[in-house]
Amino acid sequence: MVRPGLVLNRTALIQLAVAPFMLTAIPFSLYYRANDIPALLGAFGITVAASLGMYALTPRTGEVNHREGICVVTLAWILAAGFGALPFYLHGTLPTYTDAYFEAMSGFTTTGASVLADIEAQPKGILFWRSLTHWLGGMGIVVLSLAVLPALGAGGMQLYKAEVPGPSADKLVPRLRETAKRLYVVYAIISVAEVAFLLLGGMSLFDSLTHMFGTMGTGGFSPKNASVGFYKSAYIDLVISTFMFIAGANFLLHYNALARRDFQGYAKDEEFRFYTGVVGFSTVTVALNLLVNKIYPGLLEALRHALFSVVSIITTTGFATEDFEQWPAYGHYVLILLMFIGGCAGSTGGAIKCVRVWMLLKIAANQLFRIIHPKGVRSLWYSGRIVPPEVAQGIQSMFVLYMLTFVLASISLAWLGHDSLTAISAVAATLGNVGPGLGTVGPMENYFHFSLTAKWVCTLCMLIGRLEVYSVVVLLVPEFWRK
Amino acid sequence: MKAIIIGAGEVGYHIAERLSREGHDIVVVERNPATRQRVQEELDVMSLEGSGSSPRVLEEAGVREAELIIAVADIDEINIAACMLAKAYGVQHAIARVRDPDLSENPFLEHGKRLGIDLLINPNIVVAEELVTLVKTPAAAEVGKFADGKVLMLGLQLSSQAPLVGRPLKSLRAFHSTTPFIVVGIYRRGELLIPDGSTVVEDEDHLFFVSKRESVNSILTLMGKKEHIVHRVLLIGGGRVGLRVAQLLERDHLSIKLMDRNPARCEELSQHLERTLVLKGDGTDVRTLAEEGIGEMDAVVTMTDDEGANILAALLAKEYKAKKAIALIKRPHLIQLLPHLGIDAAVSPRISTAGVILKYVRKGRILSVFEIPESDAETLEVAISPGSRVVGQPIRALGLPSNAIVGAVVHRGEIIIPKGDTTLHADDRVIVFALPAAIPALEGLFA
Repeated sequence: MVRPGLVLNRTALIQLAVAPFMLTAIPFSLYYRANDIPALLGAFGITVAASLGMYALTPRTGEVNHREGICVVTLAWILAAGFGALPFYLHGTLPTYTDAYFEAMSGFTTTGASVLADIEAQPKGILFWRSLTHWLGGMGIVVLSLAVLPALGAGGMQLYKAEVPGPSADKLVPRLRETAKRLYVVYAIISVAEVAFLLLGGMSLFDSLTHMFGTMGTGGFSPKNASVGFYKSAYIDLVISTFMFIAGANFLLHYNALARRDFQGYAKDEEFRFYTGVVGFSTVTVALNLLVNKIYPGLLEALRHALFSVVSIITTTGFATEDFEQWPAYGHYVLILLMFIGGCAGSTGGAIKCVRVWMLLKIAANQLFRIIHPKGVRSLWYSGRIVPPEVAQGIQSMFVLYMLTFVLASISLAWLGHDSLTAISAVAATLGNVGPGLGTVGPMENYFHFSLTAKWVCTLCMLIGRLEVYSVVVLLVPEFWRK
Repeated sequence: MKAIIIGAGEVGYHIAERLSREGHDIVVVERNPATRQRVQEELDVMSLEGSGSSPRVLEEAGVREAELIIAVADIDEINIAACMLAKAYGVQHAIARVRDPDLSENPFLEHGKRLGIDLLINPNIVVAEELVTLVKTPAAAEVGKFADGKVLMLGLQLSSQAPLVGRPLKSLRAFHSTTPFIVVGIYRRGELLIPDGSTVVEDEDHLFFVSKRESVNSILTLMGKKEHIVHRVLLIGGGRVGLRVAQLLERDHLSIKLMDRNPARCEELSQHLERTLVLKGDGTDVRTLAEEGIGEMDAVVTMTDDEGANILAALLAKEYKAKKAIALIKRPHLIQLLPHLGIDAAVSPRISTAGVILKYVRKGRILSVFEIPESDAETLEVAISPGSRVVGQPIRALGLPSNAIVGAVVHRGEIIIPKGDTTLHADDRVIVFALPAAIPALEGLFA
């Protein structure tokens, strides 16, 4: 049973938690004397008025059930992008609402795919908001609302489950609200550390903040046309690579390390080991390939660029320093594959997630074992625990649905006339919340030239990817709506 | 406060829900994966799969930081082991549920103190005591005792002939001056409401009122109930609860018949019960029941292991015009059905056990807790601490939450059924009826 009133009521609350963040762009508009203040204030006013109206007209009491939780989360994301697009639309940053919506959804889902032709020409307030959506969407707008709004408490677990990435939504402490708060505290601490490192590298406060938003949310919007490549600094590359890597790991591990001084948790966590292994293997082989093909003169330089691109893609950030499209086939093919793997569960990264890929491999290994020993009994182990069959099945079917979405969306783009490399990589990059793809949407180009239809296909992919397929796709099943 | 609950059965689930809603950090340890899953999804608590008697699981549950452990798993030995382990880890308070009277009643063990367990609850005994109270208070469906039994809270189903029906509560003022009482709650069409003077009493209302013990009879008359002397009691089901009830009633010199299906058990029962007539037979066997004069019974208590059979037997008893039928029900949500069926009262081990645990958890200034079935409302007996800001204030100026009502005040051993101008003093005890949302505020107010 789904009670529409209750769903709208909770959705409105989530919008109210997000709206005040629009105002944080205004100090930068004032400082840089930008002309975007009316747009930001107008967007804030419309969001608050619409959400308050929705809140007042709908019933407040009741506990959100399982299905309603899914509805609330999906609708909250759709509306957050809808309201989040208003500053771009009201200011005239982008020509159509479709473009503004694409940009906002790309921001909140931490995709970082852009339709802005000249980023540096835009006012600072708009650019600040554009990057801030990454930071908010990274840890999750529902988690944010759970942390700041006590009213969301009843049935909060249903919401939390639908938003948090990974096959199981773990809590740090027994109470959900406290869990949400602590997640944001850990997130904020690491964010502040990154800003400090970037400031030390000579970046301005505005640039450090916006790049931090893009890094920590694993988003990838940069206020520079040339992205991080603008700075041509090995130090900045290294700082951002490191923090992208951190943001792509499970925040549960960071919490245990910061709050409980448990640094061994990293070494014990199978997913983290897999994640590190994939990053290490890809970086080294890509660097060697670049060296063999004489793209860069020295090993260190090859390693620096390989590391940045590999981490940027696997964490689904999408910052660029180099136009990896110009690399030999091995390099950009590895990057396409990494787009599917994505970050860890409980991180701000997108795509399928390391834990699922790793488990799929283990399931396949178990199956081989069964073929060799038809009477053998072997359980699926993960980090010292047995994985229940339902969880394993959930992972397998998520993979199938993810690939099915990928196929449907990429053939739609092909139908619309995009070449296969563009169609494949654009869908892999938006569904995986990465951002830049290859072909005509490579790291040095963007999605501006896509038709309106193609933009909507990509926007939908971003939403499906961020909510890990189930929460969006299940709404399309008629059974969901039966009483 | 951080608490660990072992076992997410009826009692564990309920306690976890209550405590987490009141703002405590709860970790639930449960062996059954499906039950654990349910807890994880429905409650704002952390849950772990595993055995409560495993130190590894307890460590994972954060036993080192926990203040309280409540062990209510199905197996007595696990509960005891969990509590002893938790104590070894430094948990301050340990509560265990045990069903075996050998463990709960052994004088050497001193109700668990000897093992370091602060509270050892035997649900059978708790339930038996509650059943006996109900047998001895024929008109009531619920009985809560406060101020050492001097104040009673009674819940009863109004009949349409009750003189009260159709009148607002304030019309009872004249009556109040002689026999003061306060209607603290009305359970009406599935909802519990806290009445005020203008609330009109309806037919079919389930009323909760607080009064002095000695005024109960005249109030019951007003409610359309006749209080009669209890003499003949038929008990159906001779399990641990049945035996206990019979033993307790024997002390009051009542005429007791106890019926059980199992011949061997009957033999055993007869060796434990001197004055009780033990009968071999089925509680739904009409002929035997009629032969034993079921229609003449002042009370029939059905408490076999099968709650369906208990309901049926209680219905039969009412059909044969027994004065009061009381059924033992395992699943508390079935209790709401019973008034419609004509069964007078029901007791659930879950609610009774939870009441005892909650009382312990709230201890300190809260002396007693009575849980209202199916509504999560509670009647609390709270001692006012000398530093509380309510000292010296009249009740109307307290700013009590709207979902709470003061039913009685005990001032230096004297019971006062309060009015708005009754002033509270330090160390007075107040008996407050409250909906769940008001409980944290109340704890703050009187502490």
